[in-house]
Amino acid sequence: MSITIPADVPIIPWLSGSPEQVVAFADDLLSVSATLDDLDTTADANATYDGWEGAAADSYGTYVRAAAENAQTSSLALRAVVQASDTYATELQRLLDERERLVDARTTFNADCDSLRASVDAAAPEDDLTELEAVASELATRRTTIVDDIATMETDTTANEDDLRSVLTANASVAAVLAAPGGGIDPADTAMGLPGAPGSGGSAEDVAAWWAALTPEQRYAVLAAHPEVIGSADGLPAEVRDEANRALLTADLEALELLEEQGMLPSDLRKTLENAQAAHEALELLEEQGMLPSDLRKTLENAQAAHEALGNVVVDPVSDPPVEVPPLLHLYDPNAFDGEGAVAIAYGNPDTADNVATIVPGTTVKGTSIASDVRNAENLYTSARVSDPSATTATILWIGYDSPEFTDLSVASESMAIAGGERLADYVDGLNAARAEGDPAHMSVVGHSYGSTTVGRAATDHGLDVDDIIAIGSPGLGDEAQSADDLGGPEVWVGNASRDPVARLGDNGWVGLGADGLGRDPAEQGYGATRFEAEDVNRADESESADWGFTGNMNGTSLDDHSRYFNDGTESLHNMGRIVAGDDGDVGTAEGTHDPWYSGPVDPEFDRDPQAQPSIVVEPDR
Amino acid sequence: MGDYTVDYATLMESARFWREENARLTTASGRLADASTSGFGSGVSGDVAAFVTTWSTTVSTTASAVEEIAQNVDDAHAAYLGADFEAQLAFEAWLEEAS
Repeated sequence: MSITIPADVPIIPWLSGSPEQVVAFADDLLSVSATLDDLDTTADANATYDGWEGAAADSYGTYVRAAAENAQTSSLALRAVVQASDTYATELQRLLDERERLVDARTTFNADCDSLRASVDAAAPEDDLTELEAVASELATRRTTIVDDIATMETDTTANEDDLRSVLTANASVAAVLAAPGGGIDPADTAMGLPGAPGSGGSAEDVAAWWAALTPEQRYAVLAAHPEVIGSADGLPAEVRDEANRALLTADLEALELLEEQGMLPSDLRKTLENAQAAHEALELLEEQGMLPSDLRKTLENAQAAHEALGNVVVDPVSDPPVEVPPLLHLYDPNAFDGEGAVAIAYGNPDTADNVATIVPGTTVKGTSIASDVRNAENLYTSARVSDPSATTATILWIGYDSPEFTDLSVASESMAIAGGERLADYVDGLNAARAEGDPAHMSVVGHSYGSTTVGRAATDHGLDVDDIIAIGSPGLGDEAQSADDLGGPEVWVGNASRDPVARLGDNGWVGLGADGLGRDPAEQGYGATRFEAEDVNRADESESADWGFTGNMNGTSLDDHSRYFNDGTESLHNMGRIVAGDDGDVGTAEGTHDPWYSGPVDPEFDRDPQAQPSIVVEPDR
Repeated sequence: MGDYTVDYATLMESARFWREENARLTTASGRLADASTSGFGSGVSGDVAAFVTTWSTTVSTTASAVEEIAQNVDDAHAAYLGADFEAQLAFEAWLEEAS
């Protein structure tokens, strides 16, 4: 009796390609597509001017329209290849995974064949070989399956390449695009006209529903045609916003740095023109009239700051082995607020994380601040993860409102907090709307300094939809928040360090700034908030005499203590991490300030010795 | 030749706008040219490379056209200013001689 042992499975064909690199390629194309689409729109808007009329102006208009005529067609062609490349990358990843599986299957199969061969060779003529025959039969079946799967993998690889190639061919030139059925029609126009589109006045939930209903082609279309709208649309998935904002950031950075190299930024241009005799008097006139063009340098600086912040490497403190936490560019508008800029960066994905915290900074913060202040989001992320390693976390530094200068703080009006509060409430609505149905996050906001006033106004004026409000270094949560109950239901936590002069600006009883200030001291007993320990072992000496220009007793304080709340090893970072993670029972609570009739406000925290907390932030090679 | 209106600030802003557009298109063209096609499989990477080369050239051509717009607007601006200034100087010289 002979046993037929199947032949070994031959080497699995090599499969080349890297899905990650294809996605990076698609991102590059998307950015170029957005630039071209932008040209089409803006050329039309710049073909005529109120201030320039006549024969030359008419010729200019004709030329401009002709020069930009094919921009949108070009944009559509690149966009089609972006979508095709992403589809190709997804299929390539599946095929690479399949090949890996087949390599394992082949290795096991060939080893099993070797084993069977050895068993057959060792068998004596009188042995019963029935069992070995069954093994051989099973191996033959396995071989057929593996060989068939290899053939399918090869067929699928060819089909994947053919699909991409056909899209490349169809979009090989402007003429090819225009010749195709429906060529030159932009699906973005249809998509932006659908109910719930960003900018149509709908809620964040409407925007989320709009996005969910778009076809893949429409999604690519609006990403390329309207990245500035998609990148800041509350209610859209964080990864979509990130893709749109990164495309904008890349285009801004490269173009403005080129202009800078050429000395063509307006501030440089002014110097150039000042040297031109014929233009000299005209320049003086324009300057008097305030008509010199806006300075793109601010835009460039905001773009550079966002780019630098995205390069900040964050290492998850509890993952083993350590993994980096990729940042998401959740908001990018370098021209917002007269060039001060708006930007938000998230660590962790706010659409899926169990715990989500948004940090709202205070005075003097602008777009360029993201480069350094993003560390606050990093440290809070780390603290929350250490507090509850089993829960996923996302923390966001949100520079999304126009904040006052610090020098104005002691007499600050609430107007900027009122405007910022509305923006913040919309932003948080967007975070909630972007979540999957039935999967709400434990949502917190952290307001620092004037940012706490903004948070307060978001809560009192717009029903800020969060579980926890954390106010640190707070001069008050606004006049409408006379007690924690006025904030509409979230748990209210206050971490006002005793040596922080800004934290003393809130009203205590009759003592305080009254109508000139930003509301009651939320750390006061009876306010209704839970005060937590927020001291730092490095705090100001109690004997320090200070005059920061603020009203009231500021002895024993230092402005440095207004900036320590997110520092590694501080009580405040330790406790904020617990609140963000929902570990309320582990938060170190503190006694509130009180205002006896015989003296000014008394803060029991002033005399308590602060406790050093463990250092938790993992420092990569920066 | 009909009537015409010229606001110097408008021309200045226009030239600035087109220079910015030129910078955006120039860098976009470069981004296309530099886009790595090595992530694609060997069966299709050549097609992708040809595609980006073609479109990089197209975008570069558009960038040049836009640069020309900026230059022509600048030239128009200078010409308007020059004519105005020359006329001013001529009249001032005439006034000086007359006085």
